Amino acid sequence: MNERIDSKRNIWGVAILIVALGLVSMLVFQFVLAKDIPANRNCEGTEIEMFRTQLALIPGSDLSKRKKVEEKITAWETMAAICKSATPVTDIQIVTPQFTQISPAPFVTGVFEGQPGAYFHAFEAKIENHWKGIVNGNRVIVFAGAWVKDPSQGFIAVQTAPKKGKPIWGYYPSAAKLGALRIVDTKGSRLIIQSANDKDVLFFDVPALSFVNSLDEVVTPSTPTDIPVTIQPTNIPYPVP
Amino acid sequence: MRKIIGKILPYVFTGGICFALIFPKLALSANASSLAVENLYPSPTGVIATPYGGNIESLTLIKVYIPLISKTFPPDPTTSWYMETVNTEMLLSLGCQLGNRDRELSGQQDSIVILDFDSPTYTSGVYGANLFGYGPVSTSAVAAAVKFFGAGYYNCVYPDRASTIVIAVGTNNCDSTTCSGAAIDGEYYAHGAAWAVMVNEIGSYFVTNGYYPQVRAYGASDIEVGWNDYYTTRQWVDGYDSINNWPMFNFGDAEGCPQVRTGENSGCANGWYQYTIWYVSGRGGVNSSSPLPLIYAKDGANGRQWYSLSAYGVDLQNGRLELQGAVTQHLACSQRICPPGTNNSPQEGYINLYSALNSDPDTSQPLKWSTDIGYSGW
Repeated sequence: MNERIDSKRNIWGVAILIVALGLVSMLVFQFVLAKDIPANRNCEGTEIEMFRTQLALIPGSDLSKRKKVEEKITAWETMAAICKSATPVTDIQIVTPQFTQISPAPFVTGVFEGQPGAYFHAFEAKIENHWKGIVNGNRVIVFAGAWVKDPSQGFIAVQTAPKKGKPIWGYYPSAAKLGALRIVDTKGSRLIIQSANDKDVLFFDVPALSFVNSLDEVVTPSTPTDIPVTIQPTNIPYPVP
Repeated sequence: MRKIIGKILPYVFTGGICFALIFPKLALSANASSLAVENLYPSPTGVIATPYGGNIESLTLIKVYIPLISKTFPPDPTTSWYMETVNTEMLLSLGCQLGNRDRELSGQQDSIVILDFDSPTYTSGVYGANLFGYGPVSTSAVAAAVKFFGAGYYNCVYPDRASTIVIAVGTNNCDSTTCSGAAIDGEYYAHGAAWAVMVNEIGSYFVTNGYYPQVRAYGASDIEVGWNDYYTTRQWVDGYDSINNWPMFNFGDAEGCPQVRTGENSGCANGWYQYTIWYVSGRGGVNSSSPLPLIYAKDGANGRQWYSLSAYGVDLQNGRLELQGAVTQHLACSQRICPPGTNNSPQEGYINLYSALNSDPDTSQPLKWSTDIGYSGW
């Protein structure tokens, strides 16, 4: 009986020892070796190799191109030497570059051609034009256009830029498929929109974030919130690009 | 029976503990993914068509952690940013976020992050970028922003000095008709050179201050065939290539290009050809560009287009086109509206591209990076 108890104690003792060794090895491998500060910093990385490959590929007759690449290799050899002699910040020391504060560019309001920046990819939408304005103290951009794969579906997209935080977007397709929409005039923050067929005129109220029936209809302003928007699939299958 | 259980139980217990210690990420893979990106992405499913017909089984996201080896497939994606500001406090914070993420992930990380400052500008004699309608800002301001991002990363990744990042400082080839803030008609070559000078300055800063090789800055451009013609776009790439000390990436598209191996220089959209995309994507190593394309389409089309381009390199140039990784726009599509079928998750985009390239032994290659892009805000 006592021998059985001793035997069981030995087995459990061995088991606990193995677990303890496993924990220690986990700590060593995970937190020390995997994240160890490298002893030698590789200051001749892939960049200089890229230029050496370029030099090998450039024909011998293209002297000016070869000279340019040779100059880059020389510049890299100098940088590699600087890298090797530079003292990296290895202690937990916060480094912050010292630079002059840049004032943001003025937000110019009005109606402009195309989109204000490369928001919609060329394969996504054709933006005819856009309106930039200030609504309730926030910068707002209103995009007018249509989808590339469904050019009959015109839409208005609105980006509201808070002073801090992520932009808030809204998507407002025209109820009927009238083709691409275009902003042709404004009355304050109410936009006059024309469809691609030049026959239909729509009105979009920016503070209300909705189409309205006329230039003078009174509507309640809306607070922009992120609305999960899904575009309903059309009968046109999404064509292979 | 009790005796047998009593003898076996300790070994079962020990084995279970050891297994859990050695392979903890099998249990935690979903949570580990959430460290890298803002949203959880479902594992990709379904089959992927090969260019030769027939299907291959889609590759399932598997995360296995072994203490000495911490490779995941697909790689943990980073978040890249369409920059609507050059506010240095925000850039410091964004860099720190990435540093925290790399520090917390097991093993050595090798990541890419794109900071896309939008269309090129040339205003009052100053080269710069459009900041998606909130600019323009000068290249000096862009450089400052990138340095703060790098500093934020370097500070927050400590004590991990093994992980590395490449910051791809991006613009695009959108013309001034499509993107009204782009104002550099006639100055594309000069702007490309100015962008290279800026990247050189950022790179020298990182080298001199000891951040390199952990933190590097390269150039980048979102070259989309629908935004501008080849000849204008090539001027920018040639300008960059004239004076650069650092590589650059093309993180654009191959719209309208074939999705099968054609053996010839096939046409793409908007007057581009496969040769022209090959040119702006590095000319097989002759210039400093390489492709890191946008893989947005859920039907796999983009992966096949870039497979066809890589095969074009084999058939008509000096070898397969080597790609660096996949960019997706899942975050951007959760912020603004995107057409249906264009919001691949980073895992879907990566597997899409990887499967297409590796369906043909002539184009078979590893893919280093995965990144998903969204809008920075303010």
